Amino acid sequence: MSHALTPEHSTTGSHAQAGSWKEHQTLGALAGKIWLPALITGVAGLVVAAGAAAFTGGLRQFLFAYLTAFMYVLSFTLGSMLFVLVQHLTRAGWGVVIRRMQELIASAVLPLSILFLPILVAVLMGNGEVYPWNNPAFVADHPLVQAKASYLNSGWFTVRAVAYFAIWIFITRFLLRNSLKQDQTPDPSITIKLEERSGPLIFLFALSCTFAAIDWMMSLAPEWYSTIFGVYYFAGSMVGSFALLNLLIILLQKPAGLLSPISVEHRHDTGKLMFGFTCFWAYIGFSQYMLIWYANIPEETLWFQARQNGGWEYVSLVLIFGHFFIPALLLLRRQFKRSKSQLAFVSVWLLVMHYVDLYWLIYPQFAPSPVFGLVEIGALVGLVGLFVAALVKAAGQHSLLPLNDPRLDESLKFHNI
Amino acid sequence: MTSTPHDEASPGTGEAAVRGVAPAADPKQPVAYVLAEYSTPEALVKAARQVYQQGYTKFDAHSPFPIHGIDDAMGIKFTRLPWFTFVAGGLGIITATLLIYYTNKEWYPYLISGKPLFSIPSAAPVMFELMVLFAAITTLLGMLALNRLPLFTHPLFQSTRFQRVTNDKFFLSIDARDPKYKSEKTIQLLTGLGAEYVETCHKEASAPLPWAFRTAVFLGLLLAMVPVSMVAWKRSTYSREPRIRVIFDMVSQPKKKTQTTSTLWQDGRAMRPWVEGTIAKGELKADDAFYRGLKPGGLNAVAATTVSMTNLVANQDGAAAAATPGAPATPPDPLDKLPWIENFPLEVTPELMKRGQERYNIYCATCHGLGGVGNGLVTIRAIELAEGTWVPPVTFHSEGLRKQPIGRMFHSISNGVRKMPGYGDQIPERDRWAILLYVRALQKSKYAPLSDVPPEKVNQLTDVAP
Repeated sequence: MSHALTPEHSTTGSHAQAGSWKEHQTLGALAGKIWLPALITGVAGLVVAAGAAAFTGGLRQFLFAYLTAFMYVLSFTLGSMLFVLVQHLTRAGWGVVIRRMQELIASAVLPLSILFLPILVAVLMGNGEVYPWNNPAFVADHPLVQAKASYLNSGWFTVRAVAYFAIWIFITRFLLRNSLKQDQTPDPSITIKLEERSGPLIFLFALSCTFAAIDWMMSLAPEWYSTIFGVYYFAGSMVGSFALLNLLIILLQKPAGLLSPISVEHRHDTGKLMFGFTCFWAYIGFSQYMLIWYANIPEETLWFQARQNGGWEYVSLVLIFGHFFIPALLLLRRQFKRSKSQLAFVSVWLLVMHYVDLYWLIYPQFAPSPVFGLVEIGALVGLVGLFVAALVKAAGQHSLLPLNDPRLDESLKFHNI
Repeated sequence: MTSTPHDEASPGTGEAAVRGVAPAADPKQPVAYVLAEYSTPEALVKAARQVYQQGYTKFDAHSPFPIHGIDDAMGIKFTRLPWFTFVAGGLGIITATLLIYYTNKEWYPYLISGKPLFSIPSAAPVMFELMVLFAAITTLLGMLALNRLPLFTHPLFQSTRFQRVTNDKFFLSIDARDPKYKSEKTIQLLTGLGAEYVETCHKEASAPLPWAFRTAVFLGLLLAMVPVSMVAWKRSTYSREPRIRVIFDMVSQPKKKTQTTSTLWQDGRAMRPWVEGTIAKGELKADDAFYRGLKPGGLNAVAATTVSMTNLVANQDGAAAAATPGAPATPPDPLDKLPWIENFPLEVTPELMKRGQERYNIYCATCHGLGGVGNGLVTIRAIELAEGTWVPPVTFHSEGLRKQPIGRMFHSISNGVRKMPGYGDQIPERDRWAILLYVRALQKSKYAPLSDVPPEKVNQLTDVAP
């Protein structure tokens, strides 16, 4: 029960009690079975999206669908990244067994950085249809955008995008490398190092995540601004990340027989966090809406005006009920967090709602009325497929559970009061 | 109370014979608890499970740290507290909604910037806050109530051995009020479950509070009554003195009223004069033609004259007096030199003509007559009474007035002519122009040839020359 970090403590405890489960905790042959189909599905999805876009909205629609799907899969890696940092920062013991899963999800940001290239290339080629600030004719008409030109221009945009990915890759590499190192040696100094560095890293993460959300989504409406926008995207990311984590744990436990040390108690806690961040998302979303609604300043209400007309009002209502009221009321019950099937249901539900959330954030800048067809589905299937492939690639032949963490014992014995 | 090493107790030999049972602090008081000491958590869990299975309900386990599985061993059911929290949270939302609805919409509706009196977005923060507040307070109070707290002391604290519960020992206590409790049998049960040491804790004989403490509390309560009584007294009596206000209302804010003095400015006036050149909202009358009947730049010509626009009337009075015999020659009228406009500065329409007829009949016809020849009822009466100061109005059909620029006539209506006062304050500019339009029509009618009359109206005329 003591929280002292001694090698003796960890070695005697974990080896004596949990030697058995440590043998088969890699994806192994499963990785090969998933990787290629996922990759093929992903590429096929993108091809279908591009083909369908050629008949309907052209490059512009394809880029919007691609951006939405990209922000969707990226949010999982960002949410997981932050969760691992917070785990280290708070010296949390309970979550050690689920930490590796989060580290692996976060590591998928490296392959994802390549998938950002289509958007970056479009910006550098001067495609002003996606980001209006990239269109000189639009800028000439809008004095507010001219004032922001020193920030919103393709060169500086590229520099920032590269910086964000560099920061994220650095963070995930640092977290995963050290965690894997600890699989070999039960050295508490590695844990201490992770805890010490997580403080500065979380600052870097917070800034990069906020600015990335502003650059890639908020600047679609370059005249509008909301200081809480980065937090809004981050809140949704956390919900998506926990939903994905819950789903992965349940999927890997039942059919694949992996992750056996992750018990109902751990799932209960990730369920609680998912519940908490669902409420947090609603709180942030409402804070953004309330201030703008109450201040009633035309250039601020513009953004919500687009989302309250032309059919978008129904999407907004779906979000209010589907992303907050229904899951919050379900997750309020203890039973819903402890039952595998019920937790899996809410997780899938929230994963769908998280996509609707991003669709609602991005798509009203594309069309005055909701557009959803083969292009959007293709892009979503494509990027999710590529993300799964990236995830399997990141997982590699590493153990899906940390093997020698000094707090592993505490986590294995974790029990909700 | 001496520390006795644990030994096998022989059953059925009576309380005193059970080794390891310490004498109570005050054996005269009835037994409240039986306390058993264990040195490992495992022994405590095992004992708790046994006690629970024996059917005891009022017992508790004490340990320096949380023990996994102790809840199941003791048969503790999941707490009802979440339901309290849930219901209280719901009540909080309902309270906030009703509070905002009644205060903002029903009892004290106050419109701010046209915002709705009751709307969900502005109510949501309050609903959220009250939900949290109600839920948090209920959770705290519910937790205290379910745990029967606060408790100032407990019979178990009499045991000096029990102090080690915060360090390295594990205890199980059985309440004497438990239906299953039987003094000897319970002690035997605990001893048989591997207790290292069993003792009974007795109810405490409560000692009275020290007199100084009681006096202090009494005096404190008495003093606490003073401000309350003073407020009650002041509120229920009348006084000529100014009211005592702890918190000032908005009605008694520091402000200056009309015509009061102020030390803030050198001139001592609280009311500040207009800054020179200030034009009040809606008072900018830049259009010379419409507002003054002058051509653009006409105001400069007015400035060049020796008289201002407003005291030109007095000058004309002088001109009228000069017309009498023996007076000096009439000085030239300075108004003649001003650049008056010749055409109407607004669109001429039948509606304007109708409006002008109506206004003329109201304001002008009393003196000038319906036909504009100067035979209004007031004029007729004044002539009958031989009013000495009465200056009869001119006829509009004189050569001079028919050729007078329209701007000059507009000036006459606005500022007056001879005895006629200015009507500028009574008749708005647009109506003045409408009246002038009608006057022009009257003038034209007097000299109109028959060819100007539409053929179908000719037979309506009564005195047409054949």
